[in-house]
Amino acid sequence: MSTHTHDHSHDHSHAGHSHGDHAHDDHHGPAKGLSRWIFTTNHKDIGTLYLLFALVMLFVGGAMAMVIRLELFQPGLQFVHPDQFNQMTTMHALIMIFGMIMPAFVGFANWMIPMMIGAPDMALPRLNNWSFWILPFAGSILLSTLFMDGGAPAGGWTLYPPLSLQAGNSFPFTIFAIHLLGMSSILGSINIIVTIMNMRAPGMTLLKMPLFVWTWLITAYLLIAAMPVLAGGVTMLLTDQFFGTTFFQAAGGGDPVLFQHIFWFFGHPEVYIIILPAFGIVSQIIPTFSRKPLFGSAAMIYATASIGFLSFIVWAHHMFTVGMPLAGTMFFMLSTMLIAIPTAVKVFNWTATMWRGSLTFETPMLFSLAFLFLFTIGGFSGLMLAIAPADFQYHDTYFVVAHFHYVLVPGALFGAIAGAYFWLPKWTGHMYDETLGKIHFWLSAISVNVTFFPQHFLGLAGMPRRIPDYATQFTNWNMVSSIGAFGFGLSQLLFAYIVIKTIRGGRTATAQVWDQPEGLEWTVPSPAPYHTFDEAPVVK
Amino acid sequence: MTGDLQNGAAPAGAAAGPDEIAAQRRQARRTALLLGIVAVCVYLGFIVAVGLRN
Repeated sequence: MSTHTHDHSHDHSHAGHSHGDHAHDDHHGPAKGLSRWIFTTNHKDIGTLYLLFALVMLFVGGAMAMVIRLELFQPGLQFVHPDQFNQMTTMHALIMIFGMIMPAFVGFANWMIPMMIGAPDMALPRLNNWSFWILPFAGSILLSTLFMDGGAPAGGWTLYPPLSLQAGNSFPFTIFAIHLLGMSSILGSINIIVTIMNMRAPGMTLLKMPLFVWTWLITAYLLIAAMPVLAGGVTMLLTDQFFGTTFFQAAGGGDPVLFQHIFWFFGHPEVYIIILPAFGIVSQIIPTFSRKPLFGSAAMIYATASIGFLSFIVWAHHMFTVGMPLAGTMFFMLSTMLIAIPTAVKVFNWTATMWRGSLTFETPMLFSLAFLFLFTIGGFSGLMLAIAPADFQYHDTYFVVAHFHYVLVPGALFGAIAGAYFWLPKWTGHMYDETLGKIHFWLSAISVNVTFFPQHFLGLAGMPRRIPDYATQFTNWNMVSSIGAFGFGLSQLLFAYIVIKTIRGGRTATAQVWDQPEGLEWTVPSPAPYHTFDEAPVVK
Repeated sequence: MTGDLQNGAAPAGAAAGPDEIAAQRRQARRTALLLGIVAVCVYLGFIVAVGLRN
């Protein structure tokens, strides 16, 4: 197999000055010290910042999950006050969704999209810097609510009024943090859209773009359509609390149920905002380790777009028990079930990609395979929840907790971890420790099932979610679930160790890293030069 | 889909130089402004719509 990598790193020393003003800042390495990270406009630096921020938040949100599972290890109240428990569930969700998984995927987008489309950087590099640096402040404000009078928000991440309006001093800070996090996401997505639409290399037509780029393009549009809706909803909560409006207060003619509609009009696309980039990552990994092109890539693109569209017309399946006209129930039930079709197309195509492929099972492939099986379990339990009469039984039970954790942990998080192992050699120039990676995989894959599978049983047996205590008949499966959670938490410490070890050293990675990978990112050396594609590659 | 890019077969070339990239960035800024306006309109539109409904 021939390799025609073009070493862009040595171009930088001589190619720039002939290009005049446009290129005057394109031909130096990174700045020294802290200022590199504060003022950087380089997509790779900003991608690294996003990914490190997400890794830190994984452990912050994970620590809260450990508190939750510690309290639920036995019935009765052992470690935390019920109000603190509710703060933990609320903050765990807010941090994991807005502070961990979304920034992680934006980090992947920053690192990989310009390299995949042959662009020198993101289209708007200074906006990119701002998008990231909003995040630590927003995260700090959100975390600071834990130390405020009345504690952190405790009414659930859905912030339903009137409960959320009964929060203490933390309420306006929470709203402000959500606004900032949303602003960061919107600015990031605008940058991603304009980068993909305007900065592609010659010959890189839309249908030639890698699936990861496609899934992010669709995700970015979802973000721009959905995040302002959440911002509008929480702004109205704020004015209801402090400025005398009654948008959601029945006493003043408002409608608290309307908030639920607004929230879930954002919230359901949010689920796909989280999962679509993981679809993209897996769509890069499975063909690489099957040594075959992705089966039905155009169908994958259409399926992704279909999922994006459908995500906006299914929101009220989260609210069947609130009550709505029969026609509404039927519509939301059936439209939700429709999502299974494009999702099944994806699962089929990933499987068909592996069919008669020359498979090897390096760590990224193992995490992708676990993603394929376990995300599908989450999808099936989602179908069960879509059945309105059944949902009346499952609603607000641990079955729902099991369902969305299967989608988000072995789904989205495993997708992100798979992507990290897949591209870490390209980012650092070092191969990760494959043995440790496989140990990490098996520990994670086993413990995640030990944690969440029993929660199906608990939910079907009637254990409600968001409670610090429970009836004694639920004890055994809660103990099993907690043991699994502690194991999963410890396993991720191993992941952090592997990442740090790879950054610090290890076997040198080649430009291609893997056996015959496809895509422009594998044509540049490993680690990828600080500036890639000063002159755009021509894609034939 | 990406078969043409396989194994580093996409050569580096000079088809899009700094001037073209600068032009791409100008176009990107205009598109970004439009998308930003759309986001603000969605934000305000939902607040106004809920206010009018009540």
